Amino acid sequence: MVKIIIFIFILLLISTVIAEAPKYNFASIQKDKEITASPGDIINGKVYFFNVHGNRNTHVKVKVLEKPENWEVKITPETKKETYDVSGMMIEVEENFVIPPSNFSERPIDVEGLTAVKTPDGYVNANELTIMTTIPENSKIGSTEKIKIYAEAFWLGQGGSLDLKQEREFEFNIKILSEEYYEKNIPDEQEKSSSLITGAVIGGGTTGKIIFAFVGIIIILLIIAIKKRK
Amino acid sequence: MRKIITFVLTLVALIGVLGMVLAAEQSVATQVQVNEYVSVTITPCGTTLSFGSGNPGDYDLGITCQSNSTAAISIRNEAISNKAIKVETKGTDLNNSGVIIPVSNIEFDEANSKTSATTLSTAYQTSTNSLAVNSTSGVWYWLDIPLGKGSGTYTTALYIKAA
Repeated sequence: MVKIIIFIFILLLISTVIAEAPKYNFASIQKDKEITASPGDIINGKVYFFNVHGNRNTHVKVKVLEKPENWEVKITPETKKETYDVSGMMIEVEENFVIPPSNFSERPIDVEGLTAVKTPDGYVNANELTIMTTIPENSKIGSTEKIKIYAEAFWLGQGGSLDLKQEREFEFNIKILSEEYYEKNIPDEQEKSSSLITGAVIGGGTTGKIIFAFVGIIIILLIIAIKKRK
Repeated sequence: MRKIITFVLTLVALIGVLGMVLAAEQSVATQVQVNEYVSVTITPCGTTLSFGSGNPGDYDLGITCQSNSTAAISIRNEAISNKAIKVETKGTDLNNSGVIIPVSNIEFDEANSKTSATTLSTAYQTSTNSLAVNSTSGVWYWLDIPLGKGSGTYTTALYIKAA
């Protein structure tokens, strides 16, 4: 009798798990939206994907949506074809990675192929997407360029006449700066013309004004002193 | 003469002190980037989403598991997110081995109101302007089957974008 009750209990438990309503979760953490780099640099943008609120594997396909002309942008892991047996049906898909459902943990847990990422709710094992960009040597200093990454999340075995998918875009703004620091004052047109008329050397800024005032006072005092001597 | 020299020296010293004070007022630019967290969960009203079966010319066929109180899908901006999201939706034409029912035959609404429903298209349209963190919105769908459509199973994909 006890065996029958245990068997019925297990059967009920299994049926509950099978009947559980699907939850399709797509979670991401984008790091460093603003990146500074110099011509010739190789930079790595990172996006982490995880699935703590869902109960189905989240398949993700990624591509570069927007990048400056002649820039080399490489996504890792690359897109590949995979075949899955979903409840007896063979399904072939193109994807970059698949995110299994997971939970937050107090401490990082080592799982092959996943990165333990610290979040406000604890550690989570995430798929790391690297966007490796080579900044061309001839990039314009001071310019800001944009790279946009597109990610599509999909779930297999939905079965109905409507398949749900999620899409998200990740934008990286890359500011190009010179590797060497220097600072040079370039007088504007007004300053140039006034210096031509007066013949004075314009130092520019507060420091220059103080020096001028100081020199002026010294000269006046020296004149007074010389006059008194006479 | 001595007085003048003393005066000049005092003046120089005062200017020196002023210069030091000015030099001490320095600032260094600094910034911090807070990482962006977005976690969106879509829960359909049933294990599968389907308009069921209907006849050519039938209109306002709702998703079979949706009801007045239950949306076809609920979209949740999870508590771990650190930004409110704009929810956009689009779809593909319903396809049955090359026979098409245009996606414009589907309408959607986030308040279960057929009168204010929006026609679905292949381009994204906003369904929720700002979905706050740790909150949920629902979407209801309806389909019109055009006259003259052949029998068969038509399938489509619904896309949800968090922007």
